[in-house]
Amino acid sequence: MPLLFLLLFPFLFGLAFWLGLGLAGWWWVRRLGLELEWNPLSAASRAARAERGGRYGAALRWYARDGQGERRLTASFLYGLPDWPVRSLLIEVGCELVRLERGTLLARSAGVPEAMTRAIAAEAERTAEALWRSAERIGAAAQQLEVLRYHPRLRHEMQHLAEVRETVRDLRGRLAALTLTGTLGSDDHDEARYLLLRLQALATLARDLTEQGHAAAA
Amino acid sequence: MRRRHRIPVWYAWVALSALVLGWWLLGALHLG
Repeated sequence: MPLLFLLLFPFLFGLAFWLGLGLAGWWWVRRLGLELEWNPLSAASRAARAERGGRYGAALRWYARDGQGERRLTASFLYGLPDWPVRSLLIEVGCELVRLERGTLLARSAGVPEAMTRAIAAEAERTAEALWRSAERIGAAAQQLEVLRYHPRLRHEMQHLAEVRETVRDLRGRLAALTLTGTLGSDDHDEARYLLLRLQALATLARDLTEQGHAAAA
Repeated sequence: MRRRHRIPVWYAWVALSALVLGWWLLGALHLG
């Protein structure tokens, strides 16, 4: 019996030691703001590569295909942007866009016409382009000057982003309802028409967001 | 926007696989 104890104790001690060391290493790596890339072919890696390459539509597509896309997008924005109110809004809009894009995939597999899901996905990706450009501008400006936090343009941008968020939320709800009802019946034509109207509204908002950026740059 | 650094851990997978494959090939071709 004592022999068993003598053998078991060092074994358990060693196990706990290596586990603790691994956890401490993991925590340290995360504290340094480093990301470990285990598999270059995973959706998360592709999303990160697309985001770094400035292909934001593709980044959204891959974030939607990654199960933890929202968490990764949130981590990326939390690290990259200053702790301003606009940051949480950007994160919310980004997460909503990821969910909308994922919703189009689910809707397509459930039988919603591909033309419709494709149009929604394309619009979501265009909006993502505008969103990321906005985030890039805000991040780059914040690194130069802290008082920009109170710039009036930022308030305009926040109003715009709030509108985009509401539109995307509404669109997501409509798409889910359309997925639930399945193939297009007579009732669903109204639903589909309304959905397309919201899509146009989103396109207008995204364009406004982009134009606002150009106006700010000019 | 600042970006977090990504460490490609998969380089280690590739290097290890190449090492094992090379070792096996050396043995298989009787070159060792």
